[in-house]
Amino acid sequence: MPEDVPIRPDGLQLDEHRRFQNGFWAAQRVAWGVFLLVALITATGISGRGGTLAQGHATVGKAEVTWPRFTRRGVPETLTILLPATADSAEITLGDDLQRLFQIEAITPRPAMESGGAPLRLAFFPDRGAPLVLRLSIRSQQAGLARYAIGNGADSTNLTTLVLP
Amino acid sequence: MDTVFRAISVYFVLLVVTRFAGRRTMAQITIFDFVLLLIISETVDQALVGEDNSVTNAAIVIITLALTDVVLSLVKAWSPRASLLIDGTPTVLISEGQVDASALRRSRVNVSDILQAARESQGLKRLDQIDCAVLEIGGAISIIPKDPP
Repeated sequence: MPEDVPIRPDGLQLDEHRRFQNGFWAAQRVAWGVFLLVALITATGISGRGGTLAQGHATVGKAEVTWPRFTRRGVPETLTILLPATADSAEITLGDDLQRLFQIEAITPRPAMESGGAPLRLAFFPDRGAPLVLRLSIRSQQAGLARYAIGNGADSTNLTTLVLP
Repeated sequence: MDTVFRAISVYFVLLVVTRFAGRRTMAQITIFDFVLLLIISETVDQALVGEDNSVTNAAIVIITLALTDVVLSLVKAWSPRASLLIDGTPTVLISEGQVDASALRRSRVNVSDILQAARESQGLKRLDQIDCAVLEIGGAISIIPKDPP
């Protein structure tokens, strides 16, 4: 109500709420600190899409896996598996959680053999003397903590990706 | 559902960020603020519609944003506390000819801004001709000149 607004000693009819304003100014400075913190956290990779912490590295059997630790929902990512040079075939298994939580858009190179179902088994015949770099183009389907298994031969490991909304 | 969630989330993120960025950022638009505004609108565009460029999606986003705005205006009308929190409050920068240096510093307004407002709105030449100056909620500076002697 306009008539409720007090008249100040200087004649201005306005409610300045200076106490609130002082509190808000203090909160504003804290918010600027938070903005800076978010920018720094983003630079480290905790929000995904680049940065030192954005990707994790693990060894599964003889394979070295590089996977996205942090990503955002619906954003394409690459999961890389480095298979050492071997005379035999190499088998990679992808747990059903990986297939459920992520859309696997492409596997490069194509596996020589593939057995569907859960887990998905992929067989490769690397060139002798040359390691094989396997790239899985994946896209997260839902936000949250995604846990999934990746195996190489008899060995398997569980990986975790935090999918931000 | 996803579209509605996106629209409401983006609305509130923008509301909080611009509120905490301060009135100066949005009200006194310099060339840098203009560039910032363009970049923000471009960024928000993607976050709002995602990969769905259909007319249906655009209509849902527009309706959701308008509805959110209406709901917020009702909340503000119902609760003066919410209004204070969302819109802020006017800040007296000059009272009875005395400059409140603390208010100026914390509002990130300088004497030049007040003098510019005094020239534009009242045709005043000097600071000592100003009785009161108020930084309004919208970011504009109101000037009340001293009574002529």
